Amino acid sequence: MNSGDNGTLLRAGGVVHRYGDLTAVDDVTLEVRRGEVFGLLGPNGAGKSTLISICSGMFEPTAGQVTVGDRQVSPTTRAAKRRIGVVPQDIALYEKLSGRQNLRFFGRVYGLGGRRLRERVETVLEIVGLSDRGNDQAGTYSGGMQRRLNMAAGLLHEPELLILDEPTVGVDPQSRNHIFDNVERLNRDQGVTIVYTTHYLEEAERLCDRVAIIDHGKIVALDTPRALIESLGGGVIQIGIDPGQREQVTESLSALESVHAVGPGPDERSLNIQASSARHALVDVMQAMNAAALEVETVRILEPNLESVFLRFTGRSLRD
Amino acid sequence: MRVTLAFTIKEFLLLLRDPGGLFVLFLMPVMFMVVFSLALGGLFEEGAAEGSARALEVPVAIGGAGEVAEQVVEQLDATQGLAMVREQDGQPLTADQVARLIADGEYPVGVVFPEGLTALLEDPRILRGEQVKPLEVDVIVDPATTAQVTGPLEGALSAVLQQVVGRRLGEAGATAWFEQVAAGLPAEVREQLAASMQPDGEGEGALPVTTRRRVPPGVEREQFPDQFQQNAASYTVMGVFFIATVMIESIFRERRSGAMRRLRAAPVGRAPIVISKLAPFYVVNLIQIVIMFAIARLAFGLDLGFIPAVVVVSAALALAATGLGIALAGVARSETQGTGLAVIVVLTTSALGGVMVPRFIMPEAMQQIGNITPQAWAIQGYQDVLVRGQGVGGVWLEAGVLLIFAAVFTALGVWRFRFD
Repeated sequence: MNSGDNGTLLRAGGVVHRYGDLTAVDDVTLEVRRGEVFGLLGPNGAGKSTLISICSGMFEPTAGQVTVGDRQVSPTTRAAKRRIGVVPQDIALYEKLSGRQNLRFFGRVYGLGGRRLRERVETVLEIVGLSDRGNDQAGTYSGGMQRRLNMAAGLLHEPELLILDEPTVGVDPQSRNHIFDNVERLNRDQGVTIVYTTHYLEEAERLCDRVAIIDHGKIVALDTPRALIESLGGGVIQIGIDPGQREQVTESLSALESVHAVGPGPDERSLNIQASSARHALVDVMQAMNAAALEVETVRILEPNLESVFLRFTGRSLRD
Repeated sequence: MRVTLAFTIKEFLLLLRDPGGLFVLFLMPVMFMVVFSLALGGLFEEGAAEGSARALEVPVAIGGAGEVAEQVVEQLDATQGLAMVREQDGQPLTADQVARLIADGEYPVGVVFPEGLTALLEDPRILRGEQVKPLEVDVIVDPATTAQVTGPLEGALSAVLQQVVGRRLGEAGATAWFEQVAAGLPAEVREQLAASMQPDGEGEGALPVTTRRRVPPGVEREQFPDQFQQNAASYTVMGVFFIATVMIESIFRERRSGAMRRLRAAPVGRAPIVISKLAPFYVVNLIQIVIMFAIARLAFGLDLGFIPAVVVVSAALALAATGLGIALAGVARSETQGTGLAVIVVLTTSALGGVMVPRFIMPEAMQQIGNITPQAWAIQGYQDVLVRGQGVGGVWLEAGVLLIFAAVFTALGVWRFRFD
């Protein structure tokens, strides 16, 4: 991972996008630094794909703007688009064409031709480990191989910024590792800036220099994975309670020394209790509840990781 | 240009791996042409079949032909299946106007009576049985029409001429003979004799009036289209428009796979992508046309006429067809809806445009509606060349109208084009 701050490559300012009454992206402002792997973390429907579609120049936002370097990104700005490689969530390939034919087509669309095109096709096939299957029809590939070819198509024109939208959905462990290796190598060896959207926390923890958590179209947290995890302290205790006792429980537990904060859980029957050490604080919590004759219906300890970070900032689990 | 080339190569590769698409584009129109030509061959042969259920409208110029021509036209008008058109804008039609109407394809056949027809029948030389140079009643035919249409008219015209002229000659001849032989008889006897004389209704021997079939001035060939001239043009035109179904499938497949979204992210504008989608199918259309006409030429001996004129019509036709495909893809909300819509639109406009049956045997209203189909103009353009022997100058109107269709369709397609 390259965490050096070499300036901003991608900047989104006040981006809003609405589909009728639904606000998919709600006033998002963020900066992606040159040379970093930037994770966009959120559950399905959080607005990740809409945001990166806007960042890729696929459509105009309802409000706000996106720039790559000093160029504004929009469906009609070609200079900015040339600097971006897009690997969509869909397997955006022609199944009846071979791997090489697919890559030649997309290469030509990006302005490559002749020897340069042939060289780039072979290079990207090599990168994704499909050189020996390049002449086979893409429809005969496994899901993981199709994902890798999908990624290769986004690399053909050597983009400065590579946007990967959930690149490991539905792939086998071998292909997943291959994709991880590719992302790390492209970033480390070629300095490609990468925006990586996922709802797999372990991927974000492994690959990303910084992570933005997006929920209901808003960025609710943005920092390095370590800083986000450390902000939780020692983890989170999630308890199930009687909704009628909610205020009383919050008051009792907030007074405990081992508890940092008490906040709402994923529903009205639960609370999230942030502590310096969740396991140690649990004893204090149970004692306080017993002393106040408050009922505890369920108890769950969430160790400090991005899952619990997500829970803290959104009040719900990433897979809810 | 590189993008267009990329799309063209890609679409060809995809089409080569799509047997269904190849069938629709290449085999189906060939099958239509061959099967319909063989099955309906008799329909296009001289003397075959009776007229259509609808009365055949026939423009007629009487001019100075006089009373005899009026009688002939009256009797033809009373004949079932014929409707004689004597006027245009309230004025009697002239010979030139009739020829123009046929040349323009307004009517399939017309009649022009010779000047002095009635006067000739009163010529004393004829009454004396002497030979005179016969006059000719012109039957002006559109070479693109069929014997099925003109046969009944020509048959009726000959019969009515025989009857009217024969009766007129019989009456005149008998009167002259009577005057000669009964000159010295008393008035009472002459009256009895005159009352007992009945004309036989038809004269005997050769009439001094004949019919002559000819094509309008400026139209080079005089021939009926055979079934392959008719069907090669018609089914080529229909087959070309079926490109719309293949285009819709291709566009929706690209949307479904997400490839369109990926292309949207590429540094290529909207219009170049749409135009690039058209280009490969345009080439496919041209190949289709070459194959169709090659089969008609090699297997069935179709005379293609002036090739550059065929090329002009074909080039414009293919643009209109691919334009229709992109327009329908833009209008349709789903692939199923799009292909269904394309089949309905192509078959309906093909029928209205004269693919299945020639337009001139359709009711007037349907003929007018047919004018708003590109198929009608394409078929007319091809028949101008294949049947009427026209060159490039003779098809510019049809090609121009097809280009207007292409421009309108393509503009609609670009406007409505969606990437996802």
